[in-house]
Amino acid sequence: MTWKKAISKPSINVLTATDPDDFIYSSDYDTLKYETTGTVSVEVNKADYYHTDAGSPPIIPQTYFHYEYATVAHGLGYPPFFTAYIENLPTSGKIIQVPFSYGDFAFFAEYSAYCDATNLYFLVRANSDSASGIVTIVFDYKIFKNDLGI
Amino acid sequence: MAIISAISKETINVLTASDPNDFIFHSLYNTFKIVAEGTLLTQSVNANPKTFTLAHGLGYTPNFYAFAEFPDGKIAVPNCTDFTAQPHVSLGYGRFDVEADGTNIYFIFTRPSSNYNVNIKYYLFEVPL
Repeated sequence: MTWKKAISKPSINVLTATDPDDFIYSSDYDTLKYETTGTVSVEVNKADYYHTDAGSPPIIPQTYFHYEYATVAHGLGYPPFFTAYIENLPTSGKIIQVPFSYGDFAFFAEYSAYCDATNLYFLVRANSDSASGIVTIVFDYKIFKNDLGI
Repeated sequence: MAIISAISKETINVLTASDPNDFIFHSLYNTFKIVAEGTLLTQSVNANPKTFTLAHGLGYTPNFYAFAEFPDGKIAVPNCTDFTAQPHVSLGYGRFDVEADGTNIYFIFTRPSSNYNVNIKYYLFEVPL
């Protein structure tokens, strides 16, 4: 005989319910187990570009390409379930879920997040029309204990 | 009288706490149940795009999430290009997104240059979309 622990929602008979949505909790189903949260900044120094495109001024300006990332050690020893957000995109003023990207005829930006058994990685790929100045992108992340198993 | 089952976090008085974030578990708050999860290992992305289709058997369109490990060992969230892709320098391995309907979940990968293998992890959650 298999033992189970379950708590059903109000008015639902816990002994006969079978729909997972009828339970507040059921030991038949795994859940996301929260580990930690944090914030990390990726600093894009526009002088530190890896490629420049001459463009076609004055319509399309010269652009400078950037690839910068930050690393956070999670200490779990396996790749965990995680989510990421950006909290300071100046065009929005709202929290945005990662990945996020946008582009037009001349410019693009792509904000991504990755993990492995050791770290989380927060990556900014973008171009700009200036080779000077610093832009800081602030990422928020949530890590869960769940092992991705890949 | 309603009976509540609750476990508070360390140093929090379970009898007086009212913030959901003060509890490890509380029977008034639904848990986000994973109704299915699995892996697809060493899948060959040998077309552009390449779709891997998995029948989920739930009979409704589930709430889903997935991750994909590219050959560089970095695991991406959906709609990400792989870590190595760098415009004007490297096309990278590719990009992936995830779709679902009432029958299947679909993992769709691009292959901008050569074939590569991926490992996929997926989760299906309790609440239908």
